[in-house]
Amino acid sequence: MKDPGFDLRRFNVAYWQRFERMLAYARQKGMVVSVIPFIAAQVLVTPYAAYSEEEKLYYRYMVARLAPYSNVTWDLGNEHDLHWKAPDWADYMGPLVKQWDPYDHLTSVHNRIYRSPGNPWNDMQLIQRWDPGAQKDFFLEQRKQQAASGRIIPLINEEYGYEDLWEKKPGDRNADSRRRCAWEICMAGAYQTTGETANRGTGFPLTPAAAG
Amino acid sequence: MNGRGDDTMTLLRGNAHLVDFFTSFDWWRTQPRNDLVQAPAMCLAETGEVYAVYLPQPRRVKVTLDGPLSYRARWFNPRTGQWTRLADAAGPVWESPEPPGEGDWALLLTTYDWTTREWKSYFNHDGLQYNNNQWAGEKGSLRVRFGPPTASWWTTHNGNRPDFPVSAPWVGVGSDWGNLSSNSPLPIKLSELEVLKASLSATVPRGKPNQMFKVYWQLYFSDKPDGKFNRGEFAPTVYGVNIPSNHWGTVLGSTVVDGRQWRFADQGFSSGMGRFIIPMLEPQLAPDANGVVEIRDVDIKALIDWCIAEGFYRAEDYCMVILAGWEVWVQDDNLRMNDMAFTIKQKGKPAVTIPAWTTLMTKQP
Repeated sequence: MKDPGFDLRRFNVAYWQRFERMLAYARQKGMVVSVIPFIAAQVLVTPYAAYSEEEKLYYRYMVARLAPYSNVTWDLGNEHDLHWKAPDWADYMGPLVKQWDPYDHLTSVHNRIYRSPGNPWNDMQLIQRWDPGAQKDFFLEQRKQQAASGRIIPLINEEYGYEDLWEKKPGDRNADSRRRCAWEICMAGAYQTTGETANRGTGFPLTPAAAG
Repeated sequence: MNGRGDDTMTLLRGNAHLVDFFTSFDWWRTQPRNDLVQAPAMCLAETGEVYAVYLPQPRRVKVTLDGPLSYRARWFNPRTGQWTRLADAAGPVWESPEPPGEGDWALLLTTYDWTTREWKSYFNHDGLQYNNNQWAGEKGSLRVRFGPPTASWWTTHNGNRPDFPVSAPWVGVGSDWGNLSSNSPLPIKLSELEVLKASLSATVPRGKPNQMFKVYWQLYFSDKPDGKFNRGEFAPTVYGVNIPSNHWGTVLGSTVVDGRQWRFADQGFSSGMGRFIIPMLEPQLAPDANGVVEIRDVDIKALIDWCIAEGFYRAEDYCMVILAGWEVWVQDDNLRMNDMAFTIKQKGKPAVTIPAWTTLMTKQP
């Protein structure tokens, strides 16, 4: 949907308040939340254009509102480069967010490798890589490449699959297999975040059954 | 969150155990060291301090450990979060017993039990000098840590050298030596050094015969920014008890800096380490009623400059490491480093103070 009829100059305060309650609860539980203001690859509603004033207003408001929470990191745009024909967008938005955020939360963008000294806004490397056995060698190699580049930042597998989602055979992506993934990632000197899919509510249909 | 959204989802429960495991040691100081184990086992290690091993399959594993040290060894069940204590592990190669059950397992070998907050039996002292596995503080990209004890300390407490009961722990900042603060402003060429001031507060032992100890800073110099410490050791010393007269070496001269007199002693050249010069504070610090000696903002640069002017060191040498240290020649005695700070400024760059004064005390377990 290109134009859902949103008023892009008025924020839905109740929504942000709910988001803040979630952050406060996560903080109580010792959890850090990767805040993703925009997802390109899933063709969710994106009623503003890249580089537009409305986009800037949205990000500026998000940072001002959520930065006081100690348990946030910024993922500027999930798969931002897949469906958005704005290849340099992250290098535009990253410095702005760093400039706006008085608390200097870790900032990055999913899922392109930014590690050159020319991307100083990128505090960590967000990566998507699924399934056990695929983690160790990959992350050890990433560490080598970082060392060679002279810019060493945390490596984070932000998506290593979701519990029971899209299994090729029953159980191959169950909780136990995801847990083993997480161990493999950490033992390779990287970090992981854990997420779950949203099959209802504001989510998008993930499976034909869910879509039906 | 998920379409199910109920208690049949268990991944977060499993990951909570992962968090428990990793927060039981200083994971951020370890590096992948799969060369220390056999595939498919994986290992993260800070050699000589901690070894974390993950076994995707329930098999014995051999772990190559650093030196003849002993480590507290524990199994960790990643599926339940349960710890199981093992007999202490020792190098150079330690083989685990069979894992207690099916599934994946983890092992943790440490010099300090972070779960119980207890020192191992040979840590029969209290005081910061034995907290050798902790960060003392961080500021920006600079890191200050309690360094690992010297080899002599370990041999003493392993009982191999009862005739030489020396402990010489230290805290410091510097370039890449003993895994010290690799992002520190050091090394700095001595001619580029604009400010180098040091402060420390220590609580010293008292009242026992045959006590010998000293409190000092120590700097290491090199002829190259990435070289070995071949251009000298420099150890301004502010307090000492029962140090043998021949310990200090030949007197070279004295100077007054900020109203304090320093007498320079020359211990000559140590093998591969350049000239070892000790400026001694005269009079040395006097402990207060609580046994505390404290001195702030000592102009270390002025002391270095005196040595350069006398030809003992060169302006083109590099300062690689600066540390606050202490040595205690008596077992079962405590000397606490309460605090320390260094202010370092290189020409053309902002001054940095590391760590903030009072950092050490707030970082005790």
